Amino acid sequence: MSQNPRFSVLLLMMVALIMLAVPLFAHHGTGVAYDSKKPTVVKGIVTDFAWRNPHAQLFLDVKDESGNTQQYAVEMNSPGVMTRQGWTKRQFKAGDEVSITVYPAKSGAPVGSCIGTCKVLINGKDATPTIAVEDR
Amino acid sequence: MRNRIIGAITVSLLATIIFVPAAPAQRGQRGNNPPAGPPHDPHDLSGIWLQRGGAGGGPMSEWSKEPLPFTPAGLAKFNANKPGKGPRAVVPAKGNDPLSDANVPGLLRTLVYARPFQIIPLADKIVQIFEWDRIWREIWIDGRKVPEDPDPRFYGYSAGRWEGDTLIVDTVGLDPRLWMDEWGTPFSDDLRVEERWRRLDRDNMELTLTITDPKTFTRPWVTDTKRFRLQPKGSPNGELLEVIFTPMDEKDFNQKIRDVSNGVTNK
Repeated sequence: MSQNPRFSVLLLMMVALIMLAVPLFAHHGTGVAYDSKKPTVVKGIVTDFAWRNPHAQLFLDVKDESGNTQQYAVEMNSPGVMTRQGWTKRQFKAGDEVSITVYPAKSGAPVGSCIGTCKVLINGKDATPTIAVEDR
Repeated sequence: MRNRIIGAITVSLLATIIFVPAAPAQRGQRGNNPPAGPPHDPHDLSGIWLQRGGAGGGPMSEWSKEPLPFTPAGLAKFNANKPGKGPRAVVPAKGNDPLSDANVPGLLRTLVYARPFQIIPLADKIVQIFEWDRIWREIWIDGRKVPEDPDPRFYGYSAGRWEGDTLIVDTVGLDPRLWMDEWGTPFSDDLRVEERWRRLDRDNMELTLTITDPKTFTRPWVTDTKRFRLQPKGSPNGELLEVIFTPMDEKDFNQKIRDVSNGVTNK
């Protein structure tokens, strides 16, 4: 361990983040398609929320840098896991303003994943789930 | 010196703050640890159980930290299986996981995956209800033996007996089109599984398998021990939910998420 406390703290926090992130991805069937090194905040308006297996899907209208609207899809936990996180099919409704931290698709497609306890704001209110449970 | 002491204290405090809440959350166990309770009956496995700490595994299989002793035919089958998870993961659109078409996981894949199941002991059989795909299996404990030449089943044919405090279950007839785990470990129609279930105390149970399959493996091998914890009523996993993967949902998910995320538009 370094003798510099600030360096020690930084190192410890980095290790902790890696430990938190890896298991969530390791249990997820499409995890290999996403870039876990690039957490990205996506902001948009909800157009649909599909409460379905194998994983719930959130669809947003987002604006690109040119101001054009594009659909962005977010893969989320399965309904069973979300139920145990205290969520329901009414978690999102069309028109909600959402800010969500996703791991973006490596392919560059407008798709990202929010598995486990990624940060979610709904109409400015923090809705980040607090219980992480294993997922398929 | 003073700086080193302050540094050490800071690191210790942060480690406590960061790691202590995170560890149980990762296991899905937060807030559901039952208090130390009354003595248990080791022959009564009833209750809802959840595997602790995820499946684990090694370089080849979720069932073993060690490499598996494949026969040439077994290895060829292993290499032909393209899982979406584990050390050999490929993007799902380029894989051949049977679950991507909403097939059932089957017995072994269900047992290794951390979803809750309930055990209901009856006079002549033990019923095991799996949340994953809302399916059950029967372990006959009425003295019968498993059939010598069984018809294929996705959840096999099981007969059990008690030896001391261990429930030993013989299972045959597992359909070899399915995988043994999430990582694409294969097996053949010659597979015979010996399950050894043991309730260690009221809240903890463990399972070890012996895998015998001469077509796939050069010798019988023993899996890692999987550990399960009782899920009390009122805890997040204390009730079984409906978790069913239907073809219509899977197709929809593939079209809108799985294939698109991989840049595949026409599969």
